[in-house]
Amino acid sequence: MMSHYLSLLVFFPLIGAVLILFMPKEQTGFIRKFATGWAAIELLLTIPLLMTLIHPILPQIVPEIGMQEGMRFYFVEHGDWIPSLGVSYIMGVDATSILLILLTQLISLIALASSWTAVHEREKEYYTWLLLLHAGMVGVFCALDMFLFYVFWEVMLVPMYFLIGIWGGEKRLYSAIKFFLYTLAGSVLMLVAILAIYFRTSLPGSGAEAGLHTFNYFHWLAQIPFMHFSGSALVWLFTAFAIAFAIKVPMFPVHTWLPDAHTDAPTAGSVILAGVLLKMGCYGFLRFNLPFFPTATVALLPVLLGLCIIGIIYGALCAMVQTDWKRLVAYSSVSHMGFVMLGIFSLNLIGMKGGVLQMINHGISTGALFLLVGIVYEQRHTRALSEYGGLSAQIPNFAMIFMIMTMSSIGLPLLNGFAGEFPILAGAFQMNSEFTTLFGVPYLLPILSVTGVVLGAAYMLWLYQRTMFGKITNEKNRTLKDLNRREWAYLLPLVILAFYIGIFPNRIFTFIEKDVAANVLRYTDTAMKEFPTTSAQREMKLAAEHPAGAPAVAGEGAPALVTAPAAPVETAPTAH
Amino acid sequence: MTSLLYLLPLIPLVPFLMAAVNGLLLGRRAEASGKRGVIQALAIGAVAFSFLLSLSAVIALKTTDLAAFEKSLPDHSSLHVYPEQQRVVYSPSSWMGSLTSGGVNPDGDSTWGFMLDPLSAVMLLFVTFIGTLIHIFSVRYMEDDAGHYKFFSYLNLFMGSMLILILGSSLGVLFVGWEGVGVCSYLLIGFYTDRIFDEKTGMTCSDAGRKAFITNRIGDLMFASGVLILLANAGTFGFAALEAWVHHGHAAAMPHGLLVAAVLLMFGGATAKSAQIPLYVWLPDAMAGPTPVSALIHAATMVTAGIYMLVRMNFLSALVPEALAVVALVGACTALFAATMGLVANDIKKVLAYSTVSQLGYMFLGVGVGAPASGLFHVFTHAFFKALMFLGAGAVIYSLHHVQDIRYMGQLRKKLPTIHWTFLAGVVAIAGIMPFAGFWSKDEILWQALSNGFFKGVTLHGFPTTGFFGALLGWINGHTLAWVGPTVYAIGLIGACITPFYMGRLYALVFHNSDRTGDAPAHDAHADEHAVHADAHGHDAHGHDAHAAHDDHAHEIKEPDGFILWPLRILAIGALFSGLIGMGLFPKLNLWEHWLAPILESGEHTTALRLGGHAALHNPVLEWVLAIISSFAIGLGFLYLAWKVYGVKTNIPERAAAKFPRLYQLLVDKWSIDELYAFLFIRPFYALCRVAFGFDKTFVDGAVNGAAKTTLFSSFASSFFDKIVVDGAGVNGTGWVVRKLSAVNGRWQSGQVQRYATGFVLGILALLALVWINQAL
Repeated sequence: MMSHYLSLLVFFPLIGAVLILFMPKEQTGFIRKFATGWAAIELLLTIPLLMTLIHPILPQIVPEIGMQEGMRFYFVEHGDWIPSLGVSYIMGVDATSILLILLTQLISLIALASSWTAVHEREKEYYTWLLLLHAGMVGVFCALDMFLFYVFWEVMLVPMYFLIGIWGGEKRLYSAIKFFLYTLAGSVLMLVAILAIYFRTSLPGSGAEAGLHTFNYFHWLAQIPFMHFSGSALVWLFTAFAIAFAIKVPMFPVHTWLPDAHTDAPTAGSVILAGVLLKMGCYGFLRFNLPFFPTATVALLPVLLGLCIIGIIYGALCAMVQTDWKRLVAYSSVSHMGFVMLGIFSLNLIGMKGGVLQMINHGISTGALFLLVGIVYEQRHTRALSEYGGLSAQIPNFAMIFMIMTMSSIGLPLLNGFAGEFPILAGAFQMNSEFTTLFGVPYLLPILSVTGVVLGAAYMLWLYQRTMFGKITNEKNRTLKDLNRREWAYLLPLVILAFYIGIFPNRIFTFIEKDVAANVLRYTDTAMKEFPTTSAQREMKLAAEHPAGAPAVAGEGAPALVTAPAAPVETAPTAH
Repeated sequence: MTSLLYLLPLIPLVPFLMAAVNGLLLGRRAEASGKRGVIQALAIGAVAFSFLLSLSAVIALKTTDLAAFEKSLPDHSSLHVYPEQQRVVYSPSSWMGSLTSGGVNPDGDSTWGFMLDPLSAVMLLFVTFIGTLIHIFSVRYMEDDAGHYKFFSYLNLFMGSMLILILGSSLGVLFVGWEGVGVCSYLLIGFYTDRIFDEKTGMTCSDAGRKAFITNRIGDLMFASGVLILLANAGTFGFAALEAWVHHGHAAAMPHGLLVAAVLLMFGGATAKSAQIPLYVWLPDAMAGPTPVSALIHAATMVTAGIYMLVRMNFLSALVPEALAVVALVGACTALFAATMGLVANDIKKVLAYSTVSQLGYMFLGVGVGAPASGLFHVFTHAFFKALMFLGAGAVIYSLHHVQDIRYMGQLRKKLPTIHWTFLAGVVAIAGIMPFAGFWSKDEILWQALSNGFFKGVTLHGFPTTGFFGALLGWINGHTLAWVGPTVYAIGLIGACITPFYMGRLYALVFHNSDRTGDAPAHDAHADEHAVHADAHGHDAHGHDAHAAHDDHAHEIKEPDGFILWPLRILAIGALFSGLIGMGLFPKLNLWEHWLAPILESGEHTTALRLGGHAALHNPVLEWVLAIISSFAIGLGFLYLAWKVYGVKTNIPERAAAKFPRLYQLLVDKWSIDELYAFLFIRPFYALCRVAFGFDKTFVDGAVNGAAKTTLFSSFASSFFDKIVVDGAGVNGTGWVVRKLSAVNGRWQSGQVQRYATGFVLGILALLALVWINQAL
């Protein structure tokens, strides 16, 4: 039985965008209410996904599209698209994508709601682009066909380009083009790698199409280990994908588009950028890079970890000296995303579950911080920190929400930031010693990453103090108005989520754990075991002696998950 | 009775809830409509409830036959009982799940829970008891300040966090409370968001709060690292599971150096939270907060968290006496160092702050010399007499309408009789006069340091002999540490001489000497600030009234009412007599040691094994008699000396300052440690930040912009080329060029995508190189 649930989720915003095109552009009030309402309905449509969090459902295995036993995907749907090219229409989600889609729906709705009074020109186009962007983002998290994925990946670029370029700040054209070219450069590299693999794939089976190339994600997973790529070729392919995703994350040193794009984007754009777009890079690593190229991942791990650590510290150092409110938050994103990537590259369950949760957390807290900047920017039209000061006396509710979000951002326990950060760090400390030892000092690498927590407190608290505390020195700030009902309405869900995730993280963790173990870790674990180092061998020996300690997750089906990926139906497909 | 144990989570939860009610829901509205009583009642009620519940739970724990109770529990109960340690863990749910790849917590589900045992019981009781008194005190003390609801909300938030810290059943839960109290401390130090704290440096209260938070975060960096190293090696950080892990000898299997490092890192966290060298610098500035906050957080409770943590981890740290030697040395040095700064400070609260740092040093000294029970006993007695003195100082400040400088006090004993005698009780307690509290705890620590032989036979070993640090550390291998005990004793003894002196000075200058209350500069900065503060929050007329009243009664000094006096009286009794429950002289009567014995047994066992069964002290009486004599001599002697110098107006202090101007200036400048840190760390750090951002703009982003410029340039160039060269040279040359180029290209167009990819990447690299050269030129 096939359902079209995910298709509905992806294309529903698109329908809304098309409908807006038919509306008279003078009716701005109606258009913005319509767009927001449409996104609200879309959010309601997501309830079945939310229910999977509460009542776990069994993963679906569809053998005819090449899904192997032990994979965990839900709501799978499949069909042909361009059969002659091997392009199919496969959608499916696992815990990571479900969480990211939920985040997307919420952030998108909030972004729409935050634009009502912020955008006053070409509103019809604006809301069309936002809904289009919404569709693209959901699509990226659903697509399980490389071609389909690439299409969504590129589609999503265009609306964001226009959002920054038309409704942005002072240097909007520069920032928009920079954002576009940066991402495009990565995408093109990824395309090359996609094609390189594509030409070595072949559709299994005995039908008329057997032997044709395919873009099917599951066939790729099964066939890549048998494609006879040399080690260095795998590293190149990994790198091509990795650059595309690293630009999106962004990781050091390809992060410089981010401060410009964030600073010049309209509030809604910044919120979506921080909330969702950055997560696509992490998602790409989890979904494609790690399962496709586990051996290359392990081989490049020292470099990748190094870039994470540099990103964490470097981003924080740069954030320290910013004088522009938005740019400061933007640089803090570089630092925080370094934590997410550190969790993912720790290649163990704890780090990865922390990493996945931290993606959501970053979306919530940084999204909220951008919304808050937007609220004062709308009234004062400046982002310069020197223009502010003493606001807590003038706008106490704003100051309270800002304080909560600051604390969430710097990882205070019982708020969401800590729930993600702490497992990430725990995971980093539990990596094999050859990855954590730096300059001969054991555990230096994870300890360095903890400095990011200290620095985070330093720049965020200073930001808070400079804007909120003291006496009001700038008379213009005496006209600032505190949160109105609409602003409360879109900030409150984020505050509640921040507390909820902080106090009850385990429900989400158990949701993430099995899927991450089944869809990502079983590939990297195998590669890790084969990694020819003394300590890895020592661990293998230990695992052999204590088989009980081996399973990656507690509970059902655990032992099966750590076995090597099953052999593909056809070995050694011939490409050329 | 045992069903009370299921209510353990309520102990921190109720203050949390009231903090939310006051801070987020009702508080601002209640304050705006003048119903401050509601806010106060909710806040005090929450803490008093926690106290009563704690008391009942502790009674339940002590009166229950735990072994029988354990058998009566169902299989998957959320209550775990450890009869040997008299310990009960209640874990209603798994907060973060497992944090190890093994997936299953070795200790069942008790990692994320609330733990009641004799150790958490004593902390629980005195924290909630003193907390309640200080809440009551705050009602009167804070009456003039706007943001009443915020203050009480933060105080409750602090109580909740502190109780989580105490009740946590694992280092993870402890860390939650640890961070929580840090934030509350930050919020409360910076409570007066628009006031200047330090006129000389221009430091605002917010600055002081931020300084506290970031210093503590540096400690947290170390603490978390230590905890996570332990977690990575032990596979758990639940206290019960860790203890079992040590008990089964697994800890000994861990690389010894790593274990030392883990314990030292955790101690590093404690140096920040409990204000020890080198991270003590935030505590003196924490006095920017309202005085009840200083009493509660920065004297009695939060700052002792580091000692509590080390006592809690005693079973582990007993394995690494070399790490404890560091603890003892740092504690002793801090005790002495901070005391010297207390000698010259003029702010009544700062004297007490330095005294707190110094006393905390003694507590670490006790823990460091393998006497955790004594260290914790000092935590207990200190909580009473230091809370008492801070509240006494607060009462003086309140009566004098926000004068804090002891140069403008004097002869207050007649006007403020109750405050006077309670403060005196605190002074005799801290000075170590027998039979008052400080004597029993502090002198026990010193006696243990001198005589318990904890470091006998401890040699340093296990340091790496290879690598960069090996060269540095290798030479210590094999050196013995027996000198540590007597050394810290000597340092501690000198500190013990200074303590009664600066306390005597403070007491004499405030309550005796000459009446200088009128000498305060006419433009009292603090009063001004206060007025502005009330204006800024001008929504309640109360502030204005208070201000007006302030002008009228500026010189009328009279004792405040019972809200302030009763907490003082009760604490004074505690300060005088709380020492009697732990008299080391009479082992049979030493309730304290008996109470804590189940918790400290494991560590003592380890030590006894190491020392070959001679852990117990052979002849305590002789040393104790010596301690009594020295204590009397030192305590009374130096109190008398202070009295001689400061009791009536003399010129001895000025003469002494004139005789040793450099030393005096050094002490006044607090040994210039703040300036040193600014020079060594803070300024280089900001420079580093600027360099990083400059690098980002010029090089990383410069490369990108350079690439863009290069592309633009090349497109211009190619269009130029198109027009002039291609058109100019005509078709003639074209055929030749194409033939030549295709020969080169042919090799690349092999149809292999890898080769394309290689070319693509090479092209990009070449471009980047070009750009880089462009930048460099």
